[in-house]
Amino acid sequence: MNDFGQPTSITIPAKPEYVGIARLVIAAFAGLLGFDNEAVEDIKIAVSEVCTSAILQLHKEGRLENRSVEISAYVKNRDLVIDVGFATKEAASLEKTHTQLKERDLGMSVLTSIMDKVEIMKTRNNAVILRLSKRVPR
Amino acid sequence: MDLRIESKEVDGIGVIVLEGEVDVYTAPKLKSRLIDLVDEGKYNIIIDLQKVEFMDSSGLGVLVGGLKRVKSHQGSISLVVTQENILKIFRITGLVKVFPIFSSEEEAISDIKGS
Repeated sequence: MNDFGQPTSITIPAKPEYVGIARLVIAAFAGLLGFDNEAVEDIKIAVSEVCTSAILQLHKEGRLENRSVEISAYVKNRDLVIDVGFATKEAASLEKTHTQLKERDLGMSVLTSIMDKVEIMKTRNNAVILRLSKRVPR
Repeated sequence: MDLRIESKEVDGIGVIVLEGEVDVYTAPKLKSRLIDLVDEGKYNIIIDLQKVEFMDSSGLGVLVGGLKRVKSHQGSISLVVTQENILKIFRITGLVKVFPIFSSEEEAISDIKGS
């Protein structure tokens, strides 16, 4: 593994046209870590899937203006970890995120096939984080 | 990061040629073009994905929706895919069993004509 462990992050407006920018940034970070082309393509798809889920959920809340999605990538315990977070004021957002992912059946089956781990969590300030992990190649 | 869509007709078969990326932003353009073709009475459609560089489940969802639409008219959607990264997403989701996939437009056309 190369020594590129410093976190990299990008914040995008919660709009579909910005998803491509997020996947390019995270793909470049994965490339620095030594993932091969096939794995980088997988990571691009995974980032696209979770950003899409985040944006669709915010869209359902009806407040896309001035909303954003933050994507962070870092290495932890030899895993590439990608956090896709977005703020929400709704108490039930964690459940809604689960539902949103399940409704996008194809997206969920893609995610679980190409990433080692997919988690959904909520922070104390009501942000939802979709966390993806994939083992960094030696 | 855009999607270019060209449509043509070959022996009565609607052919859509895609170039670029199919994601949550661009998939609605593809959906709209598919709906237009069906509205024009073209129920056997070939979608050429050879110049597609990226596709996620938003694109797959549009293809599945299009298939439902043409099947209601006893039609079909055939795909032309040659890139391994695009084929992979069809394999992962099991859609290789749903769509006939060919390595050239000519193969897809002759399959439709033969059926």
